[in-house]
Amino acid sequence: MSQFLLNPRIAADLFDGDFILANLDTGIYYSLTGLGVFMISKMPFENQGKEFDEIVSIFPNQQSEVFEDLKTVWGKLVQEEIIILKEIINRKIKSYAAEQPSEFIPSKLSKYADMQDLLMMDPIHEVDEDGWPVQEDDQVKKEK
Amino acid sequence: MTLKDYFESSLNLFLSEKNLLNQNLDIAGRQVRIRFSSARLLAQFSPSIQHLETSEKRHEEITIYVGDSKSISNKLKIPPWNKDTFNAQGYANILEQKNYQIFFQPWIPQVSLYSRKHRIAIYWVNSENEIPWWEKTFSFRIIFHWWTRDLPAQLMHAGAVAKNKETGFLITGPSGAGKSTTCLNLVKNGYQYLGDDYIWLEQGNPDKIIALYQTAKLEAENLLERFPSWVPFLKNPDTYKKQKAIFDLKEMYPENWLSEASLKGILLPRVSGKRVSKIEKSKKMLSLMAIAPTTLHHLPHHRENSFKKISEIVSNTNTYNWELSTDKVENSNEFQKFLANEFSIN
Repeated sequence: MSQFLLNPRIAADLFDGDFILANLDTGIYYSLTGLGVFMISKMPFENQGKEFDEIVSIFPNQQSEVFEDLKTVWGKLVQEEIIILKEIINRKIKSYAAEQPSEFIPSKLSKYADMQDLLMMDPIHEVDEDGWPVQEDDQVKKEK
Repeated sequence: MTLKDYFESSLNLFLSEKNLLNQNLDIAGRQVRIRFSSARLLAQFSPSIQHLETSEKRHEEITIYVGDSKSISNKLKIPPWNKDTFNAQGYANILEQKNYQIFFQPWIPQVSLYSRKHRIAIYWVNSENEIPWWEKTFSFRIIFHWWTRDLPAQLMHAGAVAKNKETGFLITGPSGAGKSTTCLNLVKNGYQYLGDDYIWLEQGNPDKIIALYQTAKLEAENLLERFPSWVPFLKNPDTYKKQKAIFDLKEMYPENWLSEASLKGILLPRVSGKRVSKIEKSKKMLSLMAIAPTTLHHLPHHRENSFKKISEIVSNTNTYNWELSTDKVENSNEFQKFLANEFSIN
């Protein structure tokens, strides 16, 4: 049976109740704060609707607000492939202990992609007869 | 050809040389043996790590061979894979690098290699004149990074200063935040220097900052505006405007030099444009975001392992935001007050 879980390619850690999520392949980092942290901490799970209902029931006076928040952050996490649907076979899934929140704090997912541009750098260069690049003055790049 | 084959054929070039020059270092109590194929290469790489040199001869925990085509009888072959195999970080996703590692940026005529099992590394450059200027300011950084995979240690992109051996701080933040300036200003004000770019963090109880490199670097503009009295001490007076201004901090401030200090906190400086300087506790995740992306960008191998260690280190210590004043004296006073209030140090 497939379950929703944090993409195993994402390195994640909880700091003082906030999530840092790192796609180490692409160099894109995310921070997640607010109710979304508690939602992720309940993973893996099969039934997204059931989990949403349980979380919404914690805040009986703000149900529609909470539901919209969960729906929005869920959509973003799926779009960024931070949450995926996958069959778990004999896999040890890391769990994160986040306390049930006593008040509703809207989720916020922030994305940091500064390092991405640097992955693409590949200056044109000449090579010598052995294939080694020839170092010219204008090819000496400042270390980033 | 496999990476193992390439490593072994490269190593054989050195093993057949008879007159290698040895330099022994001590990093966190572990002996490093570096074997240079020429005195010129030794002279190029020594300045940043000279403070680690030791005359003690113990069993080496890692051996690094350093050579170029002029000083080794046979030239090292260029890595045999298509140049598109390696990305801008010098990392090859498609090569299995569990036991052997390679770092190669196809536009720079240098390559680094490592055998994890034997703890033997190779640094090769086509000629001594082609060593990138930045490589000499953090000698063998990628090799030390590979070595730390199997140690309770992690290289981190951060500066570090200390009040004394028991009270050290990492100083980190995004580019332009003021971390180098903060670090070097504190040194000018009598605090101990452990690094301004990369440090070695030895995990333990307590975690310890080890001064890995004694060089400091500043943008030329920053030097001339904020540290003009340092100009006579430039190590690269002819090229600093094209590169960065490079200094030997141990030589400039021998009384302010510290080889290691216990980690007591992480400071995140930020230029506020205000007169008031303020240090206050902040979220630990901000330190992770300040350290991990650039560290893992510069050192792309075994990123999961590194991310986990950086997370552990950050979790175990407090993070403090530092809103920097436009006034240097205010910043110095605020740091002093912070040490007194938070750590009872006068």
